[in-house]
Amino acid sequence: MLVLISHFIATVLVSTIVVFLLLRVMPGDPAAVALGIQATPEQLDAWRELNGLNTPLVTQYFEWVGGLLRGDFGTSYLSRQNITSTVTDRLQVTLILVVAAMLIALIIAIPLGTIAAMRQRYASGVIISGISQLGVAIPNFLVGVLLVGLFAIKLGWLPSGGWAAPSEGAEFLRHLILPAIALGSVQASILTRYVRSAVLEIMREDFLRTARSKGLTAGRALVRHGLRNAGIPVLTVVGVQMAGLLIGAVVIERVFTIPGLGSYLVDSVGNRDLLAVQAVVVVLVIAIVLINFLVDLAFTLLDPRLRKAA
Amino acid sequence: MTHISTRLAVVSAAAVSMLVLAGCSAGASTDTADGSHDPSLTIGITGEPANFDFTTTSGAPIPQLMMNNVYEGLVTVNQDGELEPQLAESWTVSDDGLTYDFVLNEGVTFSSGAEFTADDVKFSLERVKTDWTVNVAKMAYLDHVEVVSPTEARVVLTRPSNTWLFDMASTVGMMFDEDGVADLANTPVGTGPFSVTEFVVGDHISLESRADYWGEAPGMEDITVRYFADAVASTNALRAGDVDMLYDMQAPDLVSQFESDDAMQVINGTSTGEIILPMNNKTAPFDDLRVRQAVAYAIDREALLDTAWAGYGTLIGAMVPPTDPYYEDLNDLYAYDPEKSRELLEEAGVENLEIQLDVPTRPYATAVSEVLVSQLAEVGITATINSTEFPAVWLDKVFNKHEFQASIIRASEARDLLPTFNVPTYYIGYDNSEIAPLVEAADQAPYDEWVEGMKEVSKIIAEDVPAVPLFLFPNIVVASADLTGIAGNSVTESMVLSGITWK
Repeated sequence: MLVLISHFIATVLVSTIVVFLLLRVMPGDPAAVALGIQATPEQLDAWRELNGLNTPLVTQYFEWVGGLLRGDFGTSYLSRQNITSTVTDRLQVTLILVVAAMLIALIIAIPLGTIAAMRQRYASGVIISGISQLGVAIPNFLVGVLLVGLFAIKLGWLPSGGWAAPSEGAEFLRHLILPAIALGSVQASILTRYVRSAVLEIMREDFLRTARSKGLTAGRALVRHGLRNAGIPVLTVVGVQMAGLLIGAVVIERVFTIPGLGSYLVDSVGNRDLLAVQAVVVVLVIAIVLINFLVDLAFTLLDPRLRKAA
Repeated sequence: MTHISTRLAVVSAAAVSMLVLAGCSAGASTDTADGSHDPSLTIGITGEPANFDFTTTSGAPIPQLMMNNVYEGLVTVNQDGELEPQLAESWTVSDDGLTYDFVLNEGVTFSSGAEFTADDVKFSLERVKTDWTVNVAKMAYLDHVEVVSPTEARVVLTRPSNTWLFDMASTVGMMFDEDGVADLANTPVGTGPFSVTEFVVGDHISLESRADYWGEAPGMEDITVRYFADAVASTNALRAGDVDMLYDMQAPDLVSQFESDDAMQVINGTSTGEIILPMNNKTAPFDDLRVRQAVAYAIDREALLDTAWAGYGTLIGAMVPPTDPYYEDLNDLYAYDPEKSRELLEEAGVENLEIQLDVPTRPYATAVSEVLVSQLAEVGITATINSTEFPAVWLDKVFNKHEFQASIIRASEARDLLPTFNVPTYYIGYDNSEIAPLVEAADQAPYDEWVEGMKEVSKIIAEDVPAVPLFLFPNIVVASADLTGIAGNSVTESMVLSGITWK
């Protein structure tokens, strides 16, 4: 436990140093972006002074980290709004989107992957395998554009973009569906293939043969004894893919104009809103480390052998 | 196997039926049962304001939304570029051009409920020099403001200035409530027909018409301005009916699908943004007039406009839009002549010229750069494109450090001819010794002499071609054909919303 926590802290610390330095080294002047073409060199310098950019790097770094520890991410250079509240709002949106995408991916992948494995010698299995191959190759924004073209423009069933808060019920679902499917599409294909190979492995195991000989059908045996074992490698992949989903969300947020963390990050980089970029990167690092931690925890739930070790 | 598939079937059936039901329920449309529209409007724009404060934050999206909608000035500019009264009912100018007496409209209130009086005029104009960090130079000639009576304000200048009154129709002339400037970034308080009710960053800004507005009620009660990062997403939203109108649309190749659609209207309005090819007049090779002229002759501006911006836009011969009073058609000054271009290059001794073209990462710039490179290649100039991130890197490298040879940019401010070329420290580095005295004299002269003087100045600048004016950027508006009263020309930076209404 102590090892895990110190590992976590070390990762986040290193990431703060890396992002801090990278942003200071990048070409482009935050003062110039904020003040625009009207600014005189004096005004630019006054702005830098006001925003603490003239102090030594080490001082700036420790001031920022000090704020982080208090939960204060600072104030955005451009919007003059508190970054912590902006990041919290945006994070909620992106998390909902990412979790929804992963759920959709799992709902599609687990049954399809299992069928593909069980029917691997039949047409249905081969077809599913082939489609998943295709699905990996199609980029998620293309899926998004196609979905919008069909469901929003042609049929008019769903909105072409935008976001509604969860409190708005049906509207929330209508805005969530297409981007979640688009974001989850590639994951669904990848996971289908993993589920398929994991299930194929399991089907060869002795304990399944024992289950069959006890009188269970192939399907029942798989469900009762097989899936939990297949779950372990699949869960590893899910954990790794979550990071990919968080990044993939950036593009989907742009296509569907969703006010999430990804679009906030891209806009802030373009505007050299340094504190905002730093805040988002730190949050993303923490999120990914936490996700991996949760995956490890889930392992112990799935596999009793690991519980003793933990 | 069976109980999984039953469960799955039930869940998916539920999901699908939910989807269908949701789709059948009231959509994003504002249509009532008989096909008429609610007085609400949804507009799609790319380019979101950073905040609401145009006094300390730069960026055209802020005044685009705020000016004339939330804030108003003593005067305003109409669609033909002419000054009109707004908060001031009328005004007189003294013979020496130093004193402006404004008679204010009565019964004007701010959205906070406070009354608008001459005290607010004094407060607003005098704080430009002390509290603003953007556009401060436009109030350079202000001496002081006197409150003659609650409805009469006297503005005294240090010297006569013809540009000053026009600038009063821009951001520096906007009227603020003395008690309403505490949080300009998030809570704007103005006298305009609309007030801001919501700002969801990255998504939309909502405006509501004010019941206590002093003037004619606007055509819409609710306006939602939705911000899109992506031009395709915005046109999809228009096609899906999620927005009613696209303003300042920056993907002209996507417009043709709407031209042939009877349910849509396309307005090809003018703007004050000139797309120019600025050249660094302080360093080789563009410190030589002949080389700059060679570049000007090498460009077929009509072909450039057709290819890069689908023909939307106006050809101009100087950095002056047709809506300015001193506009003259100088398009033939450097008419396309590649032969002449080659001659000039030879004369200047720079054959096989190689230059760096810093291209900002903006759709118009990347589109134009490709055509430019091939046109310049025809006369023996090899231009290498250097993609420069906009705004951060372009502002830093080209604009502030002047480390460039040639670039492409949109000069978007209104009346920016003089701020661009009458300032020798500006990034283009034009030598203004010839025009400076002419500008001084014209600005202080009576109106007609000013117009003539400015025409002369524009001609001199156009002949010296420190930057090649490529074309006047259009303001493309694509909207439902049921909308009327759209102000399609962007004559100042503002998108005027009050006149828009459903037919």
